[in-house]
Amino acid sequence: MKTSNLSLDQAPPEDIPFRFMVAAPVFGILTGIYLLAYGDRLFITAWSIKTVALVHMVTLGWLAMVMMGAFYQMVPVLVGGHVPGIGLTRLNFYFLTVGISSLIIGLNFWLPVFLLIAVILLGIGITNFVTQLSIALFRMKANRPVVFALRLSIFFLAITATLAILMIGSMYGWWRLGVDRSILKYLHITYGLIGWVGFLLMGVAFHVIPMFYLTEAFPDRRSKQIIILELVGITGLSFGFIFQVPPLWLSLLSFPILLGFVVFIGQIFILLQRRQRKNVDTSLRFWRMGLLCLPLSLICLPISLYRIDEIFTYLFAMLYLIGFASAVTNGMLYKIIPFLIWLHRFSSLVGKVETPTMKEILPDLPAHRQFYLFSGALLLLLISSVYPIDPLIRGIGGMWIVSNTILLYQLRKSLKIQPPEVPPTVSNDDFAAMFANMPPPPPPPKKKD
Amino acid sequence: MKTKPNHLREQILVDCRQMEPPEPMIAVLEKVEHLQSDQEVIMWHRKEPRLLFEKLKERGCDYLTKHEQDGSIKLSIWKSTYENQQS
Repeated sequence: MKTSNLSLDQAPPEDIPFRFMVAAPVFGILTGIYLLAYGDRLFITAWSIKTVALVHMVTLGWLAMVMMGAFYQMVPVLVGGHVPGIGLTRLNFYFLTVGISSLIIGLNFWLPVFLLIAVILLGIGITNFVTQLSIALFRMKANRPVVFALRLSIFFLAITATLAILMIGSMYGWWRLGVDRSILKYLHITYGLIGWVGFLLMGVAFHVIPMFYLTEAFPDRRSKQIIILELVGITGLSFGFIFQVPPLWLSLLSFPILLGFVVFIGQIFILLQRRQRKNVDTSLRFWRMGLLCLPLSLICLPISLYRIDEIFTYLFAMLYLIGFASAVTNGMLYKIIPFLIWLHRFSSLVGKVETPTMKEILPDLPAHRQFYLFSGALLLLLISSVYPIDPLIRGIGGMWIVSNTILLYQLRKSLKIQPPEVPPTVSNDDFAAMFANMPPPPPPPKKKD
Repeated sequence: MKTKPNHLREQILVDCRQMEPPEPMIAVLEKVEHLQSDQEVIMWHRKEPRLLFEKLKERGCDYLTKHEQDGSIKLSIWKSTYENQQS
């Protein structure tokens, strides 16, 4: 038996994760408007500047916002790391959101001044974030796989952002690169998608799948195997890109990444299958969608290397970014937000007043509707990757706007829920005060001899 | 090392292993609200409920964690006010 002397309430102020997580559907709505405005022009080539802007609305506007919010919440509470300067995070939020908006404007309208603003603001914002979380994660002496996964995720975010700044600078003649820019582009994509997004979602899954879906613990040994496979794959692929090897070699070098993800998915399916209490809610449906899309996306990736057209590049991007990463993070919002609202506002009232359930804070029915809209939009995006029909793509934009508006409305509504007044109780002090002004009791009668 | 006091006579078991967050916290805190000085709540959970510890301190409770072989934990919770009165 041991005394648990863990540090006590380490949760950050509730507005820190909330502001990041609520910003995500706002960028989601902007993504829908963008699809609605430009239609099939976004599907001409994956490397057009407008398509790059669209991709960054998803990767930075949606994914980075949710993931950074999750980091600020998870690292102190779930893994016990102390995040320094948490109050400055509010300022950092503005650096990041204004930086992302500037990047999208700069790319879309080809305005170098906005790109310069984006580089400065995102540079500051991401540097602050990486520094805060690195101090928290690398100071810890934890050897749990979740901590390794989170450390790697932060490390790859730093490299991804650095490569992005180098590429933007070279594109606009701010400086010259000594290497082929396409090498940096492929490294940026690999480190961003597999390193930053992949490791974070894995780390979250190691912890959150057992916690919220009542499975057995994710086996540590399996987690370590998955992390090693991904690392070997990313390293191999990096050398492949640097030395510009032929597609066959790139496919072989990326095989450990595919294998690692297959083991990851297989283990989650086993855990979910063995559950005693097999509840299925919207967040789990999003996870299932993600776990189905992830291997499909990884099949599309090597095929894309052999093809002149970009159908499989688009299919990979849709399946990985929307089908896997966006779906999983969207689903997690339906668990994390009501849990944090309950924790911050209602947990101290248990036993004193009736507290709401998670489903009362964030109901499942609108979430379920949003899931169907999301699934429909994903299906149409996959069709559009093969047959880019303009009205269809604009229609997807409309669906995306509605889907994200439902999510944003639900999140905002749940954030407005406030705890009730606790009825006053009579304490011992109140009871004593009732007798304070009473005359002293009469002396006891004298005994007669 | 801290040990459990000897005066605890009655155990109230709360099996939270199949409860979804925040049900374990609700179940335990409701029991703790009515806990007598000679009673202890045993929370049986899949993992250490870190977020509960602060709430227990706020309610004048002390606790000890015992790790089971299957990876689950048993958390003993009792009113620490009794100990303070004795000392």
